[in-house]
Amino acid sequence: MRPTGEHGGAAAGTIESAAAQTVLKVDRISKSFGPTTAVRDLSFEVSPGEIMGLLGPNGAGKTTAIRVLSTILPPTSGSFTLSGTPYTQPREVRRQIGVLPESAGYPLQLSGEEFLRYHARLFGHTARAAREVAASLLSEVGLTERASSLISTYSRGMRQRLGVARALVNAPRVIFLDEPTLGLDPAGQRQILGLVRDVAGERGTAIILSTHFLDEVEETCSRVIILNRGEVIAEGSVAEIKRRAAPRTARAHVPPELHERALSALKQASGVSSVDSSDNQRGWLTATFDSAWLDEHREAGMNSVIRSLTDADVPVLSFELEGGRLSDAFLLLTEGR
Amino acid sequence: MTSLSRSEADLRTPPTQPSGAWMVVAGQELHDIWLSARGPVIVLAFSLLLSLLTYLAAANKELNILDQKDTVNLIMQITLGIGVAVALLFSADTISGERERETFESLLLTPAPRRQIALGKFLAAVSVWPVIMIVAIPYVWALKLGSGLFADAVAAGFVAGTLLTIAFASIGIIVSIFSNSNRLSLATSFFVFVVLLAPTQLPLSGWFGDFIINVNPVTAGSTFLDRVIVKDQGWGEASNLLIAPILAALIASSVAFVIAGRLRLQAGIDR
Amino acid sequence: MRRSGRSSPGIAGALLAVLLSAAAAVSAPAFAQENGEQAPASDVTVSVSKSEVSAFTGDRFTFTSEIDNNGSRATPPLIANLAFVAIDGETYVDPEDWSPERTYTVGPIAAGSSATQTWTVKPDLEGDVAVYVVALPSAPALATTGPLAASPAIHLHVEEHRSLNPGGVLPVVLAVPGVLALAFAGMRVARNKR
Repeated sequence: MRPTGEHGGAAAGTIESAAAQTVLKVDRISKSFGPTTAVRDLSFEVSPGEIMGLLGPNGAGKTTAIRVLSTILPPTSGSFTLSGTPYTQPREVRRQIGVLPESAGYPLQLSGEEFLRYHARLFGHTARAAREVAASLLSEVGLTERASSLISTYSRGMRQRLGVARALVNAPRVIFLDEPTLGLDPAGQRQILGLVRDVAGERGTAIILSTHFLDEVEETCSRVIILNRGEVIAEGSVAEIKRRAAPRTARAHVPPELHERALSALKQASGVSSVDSSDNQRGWLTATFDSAWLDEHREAGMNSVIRSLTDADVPVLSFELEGGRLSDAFLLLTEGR
Repeated sequence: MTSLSRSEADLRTPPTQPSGAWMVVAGQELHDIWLSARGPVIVLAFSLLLSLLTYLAAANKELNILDQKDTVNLIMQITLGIGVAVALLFSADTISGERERETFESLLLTPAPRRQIALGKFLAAVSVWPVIMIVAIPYVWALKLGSGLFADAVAAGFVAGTLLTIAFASIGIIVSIFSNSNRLSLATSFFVFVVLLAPTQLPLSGWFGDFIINVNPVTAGSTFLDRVIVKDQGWGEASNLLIAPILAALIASSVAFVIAGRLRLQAGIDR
Repeated sequence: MRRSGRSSPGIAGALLAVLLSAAAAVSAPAFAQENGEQAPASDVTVSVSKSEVSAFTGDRFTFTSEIDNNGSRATPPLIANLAFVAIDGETYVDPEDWSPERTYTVGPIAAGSSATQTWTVKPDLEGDVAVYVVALPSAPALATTGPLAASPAIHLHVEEHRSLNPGGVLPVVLAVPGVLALAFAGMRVARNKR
């Protein structure tokens, strides 16, 4: 795939100067279906070029939130504006957004090129412009060779790329991607995520990425909102979320005969608040860090554990930092709620 | 990389006021109907049916001196019935079919007004009627009714069929808007048609029979054809029978027009 | 002997009356007059122009009938009626299907004159049928009719006609679906090529 295109003229300058600008401002959006509240008091802001992750388990309200923000569903309460356009002007909002829905179907009797041309025309392009836009987007997502093939012959990955192209047909300010990598193999996931990063970086488009693949979020997103049962349970940068969540522990494997020496060394290591060893598994030790100390010392702090063992002449057979991943934070935040 | 005469950014950003979405939708739907197998197969099957009917009727005609008008009437009635039924089924598929194929959300995510989306689909659905009517014309001509009666038969069929097609295609769209399931939409629409078609097969007489004939748009249209083609009544004399089809077309299309503006992703309309 | 002048005309008149009556009786028409008299049947005869016809189903043929008044007085208004009888015992003949006009009203025929009718027959089914014309008085004389006058029967032998192109519709019946199929196939090929 070759990333091309910029969003508006003088794109780089626009992105830099717009860094502080908000392209999407969501203010306490709620959506209820009868007695069931699917989304409650969702608020956030997104800047141009930013990739924001929308995380949550199944049924958390991610898709509902996207449908409200893309004007498919009216909000029960709250409001949002998109580049100054209020949500009460849904057609104007739709003109400025692109969406790849979770359950996006495609007309199988059309070719990829015909499909993009159709949607380009629906967004107001002339027939000639629609042809050019379709060709350009197909090139951007790497489908030029299959442009004339029927969508029925496309693999799932190709259809997802086509869906991303369709979301770009109107040069949107904000793109909503709902589970874009669902059903794809690792290579396909990588392709889509690469495309997402290129779109945000090259076009300055803000991206809302809804997914339950936490690796994707860690890899791609600068900010994350975690939803559970319609409510926001965490919001912030990926690093902030990770820090807020699980306590940090490190698991070290040392030779069983040096178990006691290792235990003693770890207890004296800086930043270690406690050490746990299981009599059933000699040689395995779990050190729990003091979170505040670790925040301050970060990687150097983790190195102190290894140094304390090596200083005590204890070979470190393996060392694993636990509780520092987003998945751990996610599980901690969503379990039991 | 395509070579573009203007900056890529200019080309990517569409006009601020897209217009004529109904034409874009209609064009795409017409492409789907007529360049796929759906439309051509139906029209071809219809022509084969008419060929068989016309041949049998002509063979029979050589033996019976007086049933030429009856044969033409039969062909026009079948043309009307099939044309209206197919337009109804096409329109019943428009919204519920897109929902079932999960392509409707993409359509609703465009700035195209909901009403224009429905209008474009409606126009494509009713396109089958003029095609079927045109296919029927050579068969009517072949039965050698004489030029005056031929023109009357074709004109009467076209008028009655157009009114009924508008009415039933509108009903199909309305049912489709309120259905998540395409099967339900098709079955319900066809059921409505069959219920209104049934009285044409019954011996209606007396004041009640006259009432049904005049109020039911299908029986009224069918009887209109019969009076003009077989009984040689003038249009003025038989025109009262067009009142029910006209009213059905006006009412059904008005209701469809109103609710189409409130299309939504799931079955039903936005309150 | 001497004759009186009054007695000779009376006897002549009576003789004349007898002779005239006898002549009137002999020349009376086949049908009863309006005053109810019976009349001999041989005064009106009906003849037809054909005796044997072979035809195919759907073929049309014509023949004429002639009603002759052989009597000395004019006939009352008559009805000439075309009749069909299946002589093979199988063929069902519906006269309405076989001929568009099956009765003619024939005005009073003067003595010694005749009236001609032209009939069109289009056999519907194969078989052997006798076709004949009957002359009978129209109402109210019908109430007191004597024997009817019937023509000899035409023996009509009908065979089934199978035409591959009934009414000339075959070209249309084949051409329309053919042209449509070609057109749609062409569209499909063009689309696939594109």
